[in-house]
Amino acid sequence: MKKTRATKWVWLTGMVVMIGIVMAPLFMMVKYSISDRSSVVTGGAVIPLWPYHPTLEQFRALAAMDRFAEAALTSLEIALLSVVISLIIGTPAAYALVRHRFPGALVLATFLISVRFFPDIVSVIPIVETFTTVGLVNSVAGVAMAHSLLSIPYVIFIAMGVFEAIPRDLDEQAQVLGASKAYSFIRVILPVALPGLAAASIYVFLLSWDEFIFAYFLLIFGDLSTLPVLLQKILSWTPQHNLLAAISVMLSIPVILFTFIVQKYMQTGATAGAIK
Amino acid sequence: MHYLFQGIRKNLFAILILTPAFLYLAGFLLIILFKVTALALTEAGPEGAIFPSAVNFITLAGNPEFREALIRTVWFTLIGTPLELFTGIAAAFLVVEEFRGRGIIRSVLVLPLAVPAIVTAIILYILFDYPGGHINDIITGRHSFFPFQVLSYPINWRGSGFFALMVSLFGKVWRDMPISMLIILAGLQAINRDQLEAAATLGATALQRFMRITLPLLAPAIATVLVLRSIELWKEFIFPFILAGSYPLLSTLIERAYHEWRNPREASAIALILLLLIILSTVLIFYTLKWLRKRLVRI
Amino acid sequence: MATVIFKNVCKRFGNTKVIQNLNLTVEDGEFVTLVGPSGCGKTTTLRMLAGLEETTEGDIYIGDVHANPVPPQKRGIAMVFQSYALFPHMTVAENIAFGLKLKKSPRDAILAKIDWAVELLNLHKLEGRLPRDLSGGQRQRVALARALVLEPKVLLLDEPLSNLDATLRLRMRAELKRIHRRLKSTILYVTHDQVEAMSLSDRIAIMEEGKLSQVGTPLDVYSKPDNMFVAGFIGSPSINLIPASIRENDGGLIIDLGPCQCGIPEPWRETCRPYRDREVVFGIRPEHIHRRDSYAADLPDINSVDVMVEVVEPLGDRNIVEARMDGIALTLVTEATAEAAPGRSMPVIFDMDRAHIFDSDTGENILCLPESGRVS
Repeated sequence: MKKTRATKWVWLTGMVVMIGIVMAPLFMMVKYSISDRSSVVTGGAVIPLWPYHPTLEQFRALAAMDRFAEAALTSLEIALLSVVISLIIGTPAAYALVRHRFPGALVLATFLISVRFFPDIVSVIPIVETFTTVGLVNSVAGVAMAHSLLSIPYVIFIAMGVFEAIPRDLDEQAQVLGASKAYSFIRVILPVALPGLAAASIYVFLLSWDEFIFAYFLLIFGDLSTLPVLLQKILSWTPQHNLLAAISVMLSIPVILFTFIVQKYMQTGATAGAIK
Repeated sequence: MHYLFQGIRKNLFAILILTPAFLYLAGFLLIILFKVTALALTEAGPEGAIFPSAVNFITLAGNPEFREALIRTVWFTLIGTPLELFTGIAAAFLVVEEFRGRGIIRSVLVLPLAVPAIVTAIILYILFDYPGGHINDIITGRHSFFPFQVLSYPINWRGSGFFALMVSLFGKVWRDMPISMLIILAGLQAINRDQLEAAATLGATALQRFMRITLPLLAPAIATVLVLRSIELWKEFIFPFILAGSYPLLSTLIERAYHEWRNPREASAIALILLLLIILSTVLIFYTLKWLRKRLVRI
Repeated sequence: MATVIFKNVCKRFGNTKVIQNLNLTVEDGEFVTLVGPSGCGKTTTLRMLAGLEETTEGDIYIGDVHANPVPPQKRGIAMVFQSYALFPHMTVAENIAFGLKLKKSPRDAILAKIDWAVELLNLHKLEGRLPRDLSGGQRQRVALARALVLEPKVLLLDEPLSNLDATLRLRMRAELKRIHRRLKSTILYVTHDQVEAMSLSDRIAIMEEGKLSQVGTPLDVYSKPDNMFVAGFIGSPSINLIPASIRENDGGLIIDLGPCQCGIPEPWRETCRPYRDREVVFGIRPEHIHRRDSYAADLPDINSVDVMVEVVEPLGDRNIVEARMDGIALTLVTEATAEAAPGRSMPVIFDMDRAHIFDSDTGENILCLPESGRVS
């Protein structure tokens, strides 16, 4: 369709506004993280749009801060553990759902995937109560298990797409050549599916990395913290804004980085079930 | 029976590798539903627990804090859902046509999705600070690049229920915009250009083309956005938790009931009410859309 | 090597009958091709033999073993898929070794087998490559090698040449024939290409809508088609099928095509007599219609007619001529030297000894019915 001059201007204005709104908070995050004290605590004067003396001192402070290192490590452990759990449980299920069209497979797939629509804020209290009785509160394993509950549906969804893209001939060929179903799944299909599954695992990692609700409820009364929980805990001490921003940057960097690596899969994950 | 046995044997491998996922998800779901219902229906009497009991719901009904939270949540969702839809549509229309640098712009517009929600909330916490804070600096005309004094005094964003929830909503919409955008974009790209051009040759104006062709064809994508986003808004926790602590929604009231009131039973009752609201609203939206589509297709 | 027997085999998907009562025996060392239009059930038949599809009814025997309950990996067969299904993460050598490793063959034996296959299929210097670095023909050969090293009792080939370009297909066809001669393997081959089927097989099994139409040597199915479907499917260009009727004439029998009448040769008269005054279909292959002047003059005059030439397709060695005999379209093959120009009329003669007459209701070839003199 031909564009008139007017629509072009409307489009350009919209674009500038949209990008401005999207970028402003990100810019502010970076700005605050490299701000020196005088640019944050201004005593009533205007806060500058760019720090008077840009500095990395907040990051140095974080590097020296035991709680930050501990929280980062805990976040990492929980995220990796939830990747392992959800991949081990979700991948074979996805394979079965794609390759063995037994009666009810579609219903089962829909059920398993739609578990992700269950509101986390509703499930968090019963999970914390249950985990308290079995001693999983305030533990890496407990949070990882809760996160897996969120991520297994994603793994199943993404892995189903990956397996669907692998021709059935490959499974059948392996079987005709003498492989059992398990052997052909592990030795033939999984290696071929690896790139797609890697994307799924990055997605699951990020899901756990920035998850707040379960981590907060499960860890609040203990000494463990993930990075998001640490951020919230620090907030209650009314700290300097530049420290908050520095932690935010550290928390966001892996997410932004990985998102661009697996953008394609992120989008399918984010819009999972939306577009068929 | 024999048939069933044969079916199991034939699909033994599939059943074997499906079982862990099924047990994990269905098991958790069952525990959650059982536990939340049990807690919500339990009364902590002086001589031990009484079950079943409606006391938690009765107490909540008489609690002004709960009633306010319920009203806030309804407003939050009612305003937020269309807002999410419109930002998504706007963003999608910005990038649907081919132009130079479209890939990069698209990636930039997806960025909010890549920022952890808690980080976005914290940044908004900083920006909407009182009395300092960038936003207050701007609206009181203290920055040279925006020399208009909208207000003579700074706003206490977190000290007012209205503003606190607006800021939370801004954060929520900001972060979710890419998801809505991507869904609408997929819907837009599925629309055949020829249809629009055919309509143009038949004399339809741009507005008519949008109303008569683009919008109805976009209906499934819009429906998806509305359903998914409204669920998200009902249960939104992080933004109101960080930015509107004194003005709880149902979700943040659950946290307060659990941690401050030390009352898991009432917390569960609120959770159950929230769950019912979500289900009800989803069903309602679903049927409204179905009804609307029937109307739209009429000649 | 083994004999394969299909005994009253049926296959249903839900309520759709895909295979109906299939009976077929593939002898030890025989190369049998299943051929038919797409959707006729040939691939399903192959997949049932492989164990990839369950058999709804009937029995399949591989050698002396009742194969129905045996899973694919234990049937002792090997299959080459249309897509080759090479494992993309394994090198050529690893692909070839895959089945042998599963059989727990000793390493030396595996290496020897790989060498043997590389030699047989001319895969020198490709052993270390990944499938994505191979050409289509090379992939095809690797898929074949991977199947052959297992020394399968039966080798199943599902349209293995259809993804290759025309020249390569001809080369691989010759290659397959050479391998079969050398290894004497039992081969069941599926294709929709009748030329491929004719050139490769010991016997051809023609399938139509889930049923076996005819099984026979290439020559048999060409010269003695059991029915109209087989007659139409085999041979290129296709046989001419003309509605006709049989009538008595001066004590002899003639077949009346409308514009012309042809005498029914003496040996078949008794077979055809019951069809007197009934509708039949007259079938004659384009290569059995000749220009009158170029053909032996001893053919009786009655079998000739003038046709109007419409299109001439010169193929170099011969011409394919589309012509019309009053309203009836006719395809015929003439020598390249023969003069035929569109718009001109041309006298032709039917070689009645090689013509066919089909029952127009059942489609069966009257001349091949058990009581006719022509059945072998």
